[in-house]
Order: sequence, then structure tokens, then C-alpha cells
Amino acid sequence: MEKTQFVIYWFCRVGLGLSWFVAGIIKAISPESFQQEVLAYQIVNFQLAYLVANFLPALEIVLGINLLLGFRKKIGVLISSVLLFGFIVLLSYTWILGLDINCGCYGDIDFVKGQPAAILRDVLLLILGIIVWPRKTS
Amino acid sequence: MKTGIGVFLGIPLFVGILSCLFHPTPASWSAPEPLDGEILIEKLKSTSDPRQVIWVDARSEARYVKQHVPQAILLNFDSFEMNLPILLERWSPGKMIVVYCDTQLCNDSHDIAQRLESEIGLSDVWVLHGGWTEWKKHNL
Repeated sequence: MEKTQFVIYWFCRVGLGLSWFVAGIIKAISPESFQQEVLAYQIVNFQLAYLVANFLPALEIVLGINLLLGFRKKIGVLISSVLLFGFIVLLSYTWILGLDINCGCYGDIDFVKGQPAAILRDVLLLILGIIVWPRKTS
Repeated sequence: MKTGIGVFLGIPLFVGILSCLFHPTPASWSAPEPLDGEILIEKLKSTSDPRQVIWVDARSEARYVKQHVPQAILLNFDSFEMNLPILLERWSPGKMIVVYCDTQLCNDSHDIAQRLESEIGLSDVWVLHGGWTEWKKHNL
């Protein structure tokens, strides 16, 4: 891999890993708040929101650490892409319904407001995933 | 690949169970009961004449402008002094006031309701249980 390519790849992998890690930590700090954000989507009931609030942050943290350290990249990027695709679908659904909600992605520190911007961010993260996808040359 | 799946399933499962059991601010398995001074939207709909309810929006102005309960008055801490006269103009004995903020976790609706009762002396002031999220759920 050329040096420039390697630098781009490295930045994308660390960027993607960091975004998952930070998102997971922020949600894990207060499952109570995150559960409310999940409920605002009006898709799941209280019990399912409870499970999402407790297990999703842990998955995001593990995903972030794996990508940051460069372990199990293939399955890591695969799970990352599936999650991001799911978030895009959910955000689009709430946008179509006209729900005024917070994305819930980064808790109170999230500077992105509204579904279109959050969808755009997830699409950008998906693109990072495509760049990071392990190839034979890497 | 199998190890990878184990890592991505096993560790989150273990950490998630720890979070369920020991987190200091845990999520709730069942919907919380209404607190003192809160009213459920179901009860409000079944027992109150909508013309006798004055809605007060305690969220930010930006959120209020985007969407709010029809006829609701914006009355948060920034606009309290300015918009209070609008509320008092609409209010008459027998009317109930229902204050809401974003979700069940925000406290602004409780604080505004308390100010309306203690500082202004209004009675029959309630906080909507679940806030705007709950109203939206029942009014899509």
C-alpha cells in the first residue's frame, strides 16, 4: 500500500473507530437517558428500549475498540455497516413521519440537529467503512 | 471469524448484563408511574374538555417553533416574564393548565408548573407525563 493510501486508510479506520467508541461511551454513561431517546423514535416498546439501552452501547464500544486497534476488521466493518444502515432507515422513517426527535447518537454533546444531518453523517461513516473494508493488498 | 462473532456478541452481552444489574442510572424495564402532579395523556383525553385545557410548552423556543401542541403557549425560563400575560389572558377559573417538556426525564415542565402555582398562585396546574414524546405518540 502506498504511503498516501495508508494514511487515508489509517485516518478512516481511526475516525470510524473513534466515532463508535465515543457514541458507545456517551450512551453507556446514562442508559436512562438513552432509553428515552430510543422511545422517542416510537418504534419499540419500553422493554425493547430497555434492552437496546443496555446492550447497544456495549456493542458500540467493542466495535470502536476493535476498529481503533485494527483487530477483526472484516467483521467489525460489517457490523458497523449493518448498524449504520439500520440507523439510516430509522432516521428516515422518523423524518417521513415528521417526528421532532434527537438522533440519540451522541447524547447531549451531539452538535448535529435534525434527521437530515444525522442521516448525512451516517452515510459519511458508511463511506469510511467502505474505505476501511479489508482488501488483499492491505 | 468465529472468534470475531464471539467477541462482538459475548462481550456486549456480558457488559450489557452488568449494566442492567449495577448501573447507577439504569434504564427501566417498565414505564414509570406518574409522579405527583403529573397527568397521563389517556386520562386527560378521557376526562377533560379540550377547550378547558391550556397547554404550556416549557421546551426551547427552537423546538416550539418547529412543532408544538396546537394553541400551546411557549413558557420556558427565558420567556416566562414575556409570555406570562398571554397565559393569564387565556386563563379563567375552572380551566386546567398542562405543562410539558421533551421527555419524562426533563424537569423544566415541573419547574414551570411549580412557578405557576407558587409564584403566580394558579391552581389546577399539571405536568404531562412523558412530555412532548408522549403527546406526539398519541397524536400522529
